[in-house]
Amino acid sequence: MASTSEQGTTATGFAPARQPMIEFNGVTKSFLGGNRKVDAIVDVELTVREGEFLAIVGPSGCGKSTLLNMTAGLMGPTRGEVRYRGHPVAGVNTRVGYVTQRDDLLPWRTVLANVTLPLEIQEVPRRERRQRALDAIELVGLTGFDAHYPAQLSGGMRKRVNLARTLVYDPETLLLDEPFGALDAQLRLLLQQELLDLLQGTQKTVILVTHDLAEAVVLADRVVVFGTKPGRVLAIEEVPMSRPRDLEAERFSPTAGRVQEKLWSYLRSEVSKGAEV
Amino acid sequence: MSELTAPVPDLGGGESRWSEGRARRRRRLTIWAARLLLVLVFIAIWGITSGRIVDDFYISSPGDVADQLWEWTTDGTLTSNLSVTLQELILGFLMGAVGGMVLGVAVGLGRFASEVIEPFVQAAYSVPKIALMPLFIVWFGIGMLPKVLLAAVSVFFIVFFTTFAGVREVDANFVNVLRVMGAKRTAIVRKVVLPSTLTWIFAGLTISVPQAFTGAVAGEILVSNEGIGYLVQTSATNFNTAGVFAGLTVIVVVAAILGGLLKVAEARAMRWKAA
Repeated sequence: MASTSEQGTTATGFAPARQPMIEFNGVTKSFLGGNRKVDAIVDVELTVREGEFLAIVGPSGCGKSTLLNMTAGLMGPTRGEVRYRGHPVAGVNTRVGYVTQRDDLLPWRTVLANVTLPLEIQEVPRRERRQRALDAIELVGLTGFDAHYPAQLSGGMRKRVNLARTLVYDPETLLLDEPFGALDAQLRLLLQQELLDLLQGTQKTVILVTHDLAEAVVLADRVVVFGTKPGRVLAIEEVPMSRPRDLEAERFSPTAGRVQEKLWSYLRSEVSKGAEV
Repeated sequence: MSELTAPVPDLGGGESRWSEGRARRRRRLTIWAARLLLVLVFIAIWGITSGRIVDDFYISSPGDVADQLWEWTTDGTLTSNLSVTLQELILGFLMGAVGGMVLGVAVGLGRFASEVIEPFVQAAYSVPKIALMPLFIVWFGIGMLPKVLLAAVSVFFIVFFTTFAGVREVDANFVNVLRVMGAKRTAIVRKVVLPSTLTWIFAGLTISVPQAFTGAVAGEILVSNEGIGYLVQTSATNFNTAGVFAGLTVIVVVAAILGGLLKVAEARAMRWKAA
């Protein structure tokens, strides 16, 4: 049932199995910590297929965000290679939309102006820009807050604006770093469902980084378990659930429970090493 | 710099918004009353000291200064001289501010240029600006222009420095957000670098207004035939202490008004910070 193979079917996925979209070939990334070199991730071999929803779970500090940063081309690997659509990522990768974990809304712009930002850059006509931004704001449940400044919003609301800012311009690949963190459980479920509905029928490739095993299982086609010190791939699990998914029903389903248990078994040893999931 | 006091934590708990606002207003009123009292006490001490403890030749007296101010106001001396000083101040400020901002952004954006030019700017910044005045007088005479230039130079370096620093301090995360969205350099400059530098620029402008004022007045005191600085200077040469103090009073009032105006402008441009 569980398979760590790169082949295998994604009949359960949003799109039939296709070419690799993102490839990590023997990727190692080291940082200078003080005067020592610290390996953030070591020898990562991973292929994300086109149209696939891949979730990455693991303890904090296991280099999950580093993986996304390299996919976006904001940093390069120390060793190995990151490929996007078959080409090595060199410089910033503008085919991806990146919702970082960081709070990086432009503080001097209102919610509406933050969400229109990518459309301004793409020189979408003013009128269309506004309409699309308002739609995206509605999608994340923030209608009526468009004139607010980020400083006037809660952490969870800023996360949602961040998500809207990325969804609004419809990039072919989404990199989501804890996009639903800091949200209460109900809202979280609602937004997760919104996201799935939005993706349904599109060919979008998604990498979702999360601490939440349940979230990873109900949303993703495959879940990658990361270990820490150094960050590395421990296991890759298929999620045998069909699409479209009804999260309300799926999150307590036996399948979800089984996969979660399996993921937890990989993580247990890491957690007992003292890391925090 | 009007709010030197920290907000008092609300310990009442169940108080309504309305009474909170009222308490705050009352507090502010008290503070202003105290300020007024301070000024009155100062004037009173001055008035009592003058002629009794210290010769009023040296410190004049509140009454004489008021008379002098009244005379200048009624005979038009104040308006004509003040307008000269203000023109110098405004022109100098505009020239220096625009020049400082444009060059600060241009140099700040270019890594190479900024490294080449930095020591020169640093050196020029450390030169007391008033030392340039004799040169300006030789070049442009004793009219308004040398004072405008002195004000402009003072403003330029401050605004240039703060703008330059602001451009260098732009949050790399914001820049990355735009780069991933596919923004080109001009878009990054317009949408991230300039707005985020605005905080710095405003800080620079706020500090430089008094500098521009200083430049204009100091230039007038050195050599001129009009302006507030000229009034102070001629009063002093005629041993008219009341005139000197009257001139200083005008300078203080103008400086306070300018500071207040800048604060309002800043609060407007930085609306997003208030929350």
